[in-house]
Amino acid sequence: MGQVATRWQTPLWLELAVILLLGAGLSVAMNMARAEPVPWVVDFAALDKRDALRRGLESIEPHAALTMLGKPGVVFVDARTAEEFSMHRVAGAKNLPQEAMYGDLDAAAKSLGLTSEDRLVVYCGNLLCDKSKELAEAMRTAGFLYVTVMREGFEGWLAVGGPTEGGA
Amino acid sequence: MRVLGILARMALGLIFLAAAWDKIVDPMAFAKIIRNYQILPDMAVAGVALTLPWIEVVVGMCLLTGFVARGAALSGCLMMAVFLAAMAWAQHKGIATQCGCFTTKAEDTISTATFIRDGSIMALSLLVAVDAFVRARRT
Repeated sequence: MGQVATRWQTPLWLELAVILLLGAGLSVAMNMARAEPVPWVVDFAALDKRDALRRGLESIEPHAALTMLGKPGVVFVDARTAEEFSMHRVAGAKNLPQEAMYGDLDAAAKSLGLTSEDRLVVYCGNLLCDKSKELAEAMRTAGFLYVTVMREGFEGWLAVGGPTEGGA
Repeated sequence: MRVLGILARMALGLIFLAAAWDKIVDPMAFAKIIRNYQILPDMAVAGVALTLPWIEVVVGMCLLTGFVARGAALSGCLMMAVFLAAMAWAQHKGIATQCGCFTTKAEDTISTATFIRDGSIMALSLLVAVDAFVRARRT
């Protein structure tokens, strides 16, 4: 009768626990080692608002923008590309791609029928994009009096169930 | 076959290490991408953005070295399944957001290409996991 050599094997749950604990431990340690540690809980809405304020812009939440839709003098301006705009957009929005700020912005805005008295709500794709803030800043400089940025962009609009056009 | 299994495991390890880098460098950008998926509550987003890349690093290192290989291969499969499910969710909801897979830059939006890429990594993860479990049973 030959003897069967058995090797002790680490239980699978222990392997998974080791991986999780090492990962969690490293993330805590490395975050503490950062020059500016990232907070473990972030208020994203406040973050976006601060960014807009830094640029001297007024900004509103998507649900607040929703209450403005259809009111006289309110125009939603989509700062994304013409392609993105044609695919899916806020109902009734006008497309003024952010790139227009590098050309004759005034002429581009006027070709869309926008006037300096209109209350403009500028948006782009999502929380990550800066196009709306950049375009809004340029429009303010170009003489448009009432320019507001919709925080969280089109994704935020979708999240609050705002009416859209062109969606699949 | 044994050499192929080891090479596949190491390749998967390198993929996880490469995927973690950008997220570790800019955790806030990664947090914003996670938030755009609209799956997690806001209070959990930053924690996941800070922790997930380091779990990827640990999984990557374990796969490279062979240390706790079964756990690492299984973790890889689970992570890829979660990533693919999240991308499918975003597509289903019509959310045009960055993938957040290998970079936090804007060009990495969810597309057919990202599904094919992540699906291929998922397939590799499954192969590595099967190999690791079969090898463990033999010893």
